[in-house]
Amino acid sequence: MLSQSQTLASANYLLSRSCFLCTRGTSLVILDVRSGKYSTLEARYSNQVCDLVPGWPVVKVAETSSSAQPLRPEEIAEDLASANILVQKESRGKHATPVRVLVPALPLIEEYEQLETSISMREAIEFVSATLWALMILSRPFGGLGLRHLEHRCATIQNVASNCSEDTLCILEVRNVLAKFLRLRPLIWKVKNQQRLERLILLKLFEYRKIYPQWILGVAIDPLRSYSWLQWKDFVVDEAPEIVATFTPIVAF
Amino acid sequence: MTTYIAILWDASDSAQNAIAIDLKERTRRLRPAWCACFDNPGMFVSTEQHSGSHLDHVYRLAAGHGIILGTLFERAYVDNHAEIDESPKPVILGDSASARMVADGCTTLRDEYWGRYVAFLTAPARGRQWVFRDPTGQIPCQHGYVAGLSFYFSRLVDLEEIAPGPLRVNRHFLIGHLGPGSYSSGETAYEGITTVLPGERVEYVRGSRTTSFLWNAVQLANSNDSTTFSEARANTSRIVRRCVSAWASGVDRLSLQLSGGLDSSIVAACLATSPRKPSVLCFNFYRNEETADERVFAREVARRFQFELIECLEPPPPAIDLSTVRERTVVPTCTVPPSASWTKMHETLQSREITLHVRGDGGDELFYRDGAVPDAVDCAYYSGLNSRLWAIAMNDAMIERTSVWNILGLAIRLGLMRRRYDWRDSSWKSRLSLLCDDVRNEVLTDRTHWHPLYRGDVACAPGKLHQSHRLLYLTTRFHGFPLIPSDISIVSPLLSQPHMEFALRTPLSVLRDGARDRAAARAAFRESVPSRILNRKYKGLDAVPSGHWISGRAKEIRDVLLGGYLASERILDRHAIEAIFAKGHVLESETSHQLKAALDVEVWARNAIAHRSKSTEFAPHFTHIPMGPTLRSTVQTQ
Repeated sequence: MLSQSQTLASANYLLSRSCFLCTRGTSLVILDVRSGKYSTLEARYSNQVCDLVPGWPVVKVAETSSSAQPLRPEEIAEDLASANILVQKESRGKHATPVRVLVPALPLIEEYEQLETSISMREAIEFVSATLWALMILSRPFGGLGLRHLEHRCATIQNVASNCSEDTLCILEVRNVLAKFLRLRPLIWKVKNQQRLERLILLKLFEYRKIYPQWILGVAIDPLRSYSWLQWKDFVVDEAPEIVATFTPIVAF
Repeated sequence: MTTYIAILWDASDSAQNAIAIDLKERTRRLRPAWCACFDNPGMFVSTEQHSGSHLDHVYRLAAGHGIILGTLFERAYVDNHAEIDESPKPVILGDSASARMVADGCTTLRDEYWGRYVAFLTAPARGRQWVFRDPTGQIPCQHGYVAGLSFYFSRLVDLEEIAPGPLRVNRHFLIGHLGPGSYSSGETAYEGITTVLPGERVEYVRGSRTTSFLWNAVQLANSNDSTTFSEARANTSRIVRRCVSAWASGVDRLSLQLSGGLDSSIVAACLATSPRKPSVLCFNFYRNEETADERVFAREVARRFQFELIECLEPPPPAIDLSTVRERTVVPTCTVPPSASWTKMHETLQSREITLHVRGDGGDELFYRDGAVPDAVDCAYYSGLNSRLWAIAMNDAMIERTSVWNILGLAIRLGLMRRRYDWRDSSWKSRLSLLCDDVRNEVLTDRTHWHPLYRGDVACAPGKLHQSHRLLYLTTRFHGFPLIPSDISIVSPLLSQPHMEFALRTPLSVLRDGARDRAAARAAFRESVPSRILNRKYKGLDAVPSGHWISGRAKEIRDVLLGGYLASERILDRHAIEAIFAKGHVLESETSHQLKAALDVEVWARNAIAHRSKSTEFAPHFTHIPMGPTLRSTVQTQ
């Protein structure tokens, strides 16, 4: 049996390192974090390149799919390569297997669950510093928070996280961090479009406690739309599971 | 549903007496199964008797003082703070109650009774008559003039058959319908036919007609009550339980539309503990979408109360119905016919001989889910800067996921400084892009499209004003839509007068205490409703997007819109419609919503016009009774 590195070396095409994909219904959805662009590919085209790209998923074919003669696999692959979705150099490519994330069934805190929390001076200071850090990350001089930056940032965190053991973490401690954040969140000055800001603050507050949730990007189609949420193990941190369940994870930072 | 006609006239006018005799004779001939339940000089009421429904009563006032159609309960049953383990007693209107009702022109009826009803009272000696529609408005009450006589009815077909005459489409109403929505304006889509609005009282003094709001939602909302949270919790529990028990008191079995949300779960909890303990059959409608499937919650509720649950998968929605052959109504109805699962539910109810179907409507407005302005605005409006303002603003910020500084800014501007604020829901203003310019301007400036109580500047806290308006908008939508046959009564027990009054009086910050929407209701039913539902904020079962109905039929819909009433009356902007279809923008959410609303109006108008041309041929023998002019009624508030 070939190892993954051997497969990569012998492959015709590889998925670009900046791209992520998932199947959704009868389409394949591709996200390029470098440009922040989402694309969809119908099953009849997508399935043609399964043999050319290692890990490329098979998409369910629509019952009413067109009977028109599809393009040759090489033609489709060339089109995808010209869009920088596929690459031929091993150093710039990766296995195309879609991300696997635990399906979150429960919220970390029920939306109206009332947790008794008291906030210490240290925690208030941590909240302020996390907010300043998040505002700085999102500010113009730092170029805002593109998906690529987020990927890089989260990769750094995950490196640290891999050296920590989460087994010892009690869910109560994780819930406690979130409960305190929810109490303090109204104090954030910024009013509009603060989802990303809030999520960054929350990430930082978790980081202070050596807790490392994943930042998941999910997609849905008809119409194509994306959504993101924080997930810790199989708990949704900052959203309702019903909403999260309507999206298919495409990236887990 | 109570079905009736009522004719009021000046008994001292011999010409009107002659016409009244003619109309009464005609009613008896065309509606032989109906009961002429009141026939005195100046007032005639005839109603259809449904043998199956326990909610269609006829209450006769003593000494020939009039009649009340519908269902009445005594207010004392709800107001009694003592533990009660029995159903309310049937109401019998004795001499004293009847005399007081007539003496104070329905005020006793408003204060000592509740239910769903339309009352026709008369005091011949004083030359006065009254018509009063109860505040929930669950029985339609339309009014038109027939040769100068007042004709009240619940179904358009009864007017058309008993007093036929050509009805003209009311362009003014239809324009408002495409803008802010004119259900609560008191007009209907026919010229000359008006609606007696919920809580409105019509008074006749020797034939002269005036209207006023005997039950005034704005006054109740502006009462600046000082109810505490613990009082609100206790009162919510008592009032809601008693109201649900009262509605369920006449039957041994009923059905409940159980969505799995908070409101219908609370109704289920109340039914389970009601003194009569009826057998409850629950229906849960779901779709094969994650956000439209709440069966897991509905099952939990049904299991807890040992109710039978039938889960109905909503099939793909039926096609939009563009035909003009449909039941006649006084306002435009939806062009989407009832779904197959709704029909299936009705068949099940009939096969099990269930005549009462209960729903949880009104919970969002009464338990209070959300509003146009933060609760801190109302707090600042009534109490100025005070120690509670910060806590309420923090609650608002947590509920709305916004900044407390933003909330405080609004509280100071709108509450403390009382800056002018257009509290009316402004979302409809973005839905005018299909209208011609002059029509759009008219919609934006003409306040007669609004409920009469909200046309002028009203001195009331913005949050409470908005809550009362939303509630009235909900109650003014009962125009007798042909959703379900009349042998089954649909009741929304949360929308009961005692509960409406309590919710309007209670401060919003109390109803949403502790940064939780519907907090008083959650606390009141903490012991009964499963905690998963109590702790849940998210609400499922989104409406089917309007684009769904339009998809695949764009050309047909374009032709309907451009070739009919709305285009010929220069209400729709032809160029705007053509551009939308040419650019393929029909499926965009906002656009499809507007197209769907325009289609509803267009199809209704075609139906009305087609029927008009038929009706003049249909009844030539009665053409000597023309429709009277539309009278401008004066509106007083008390």
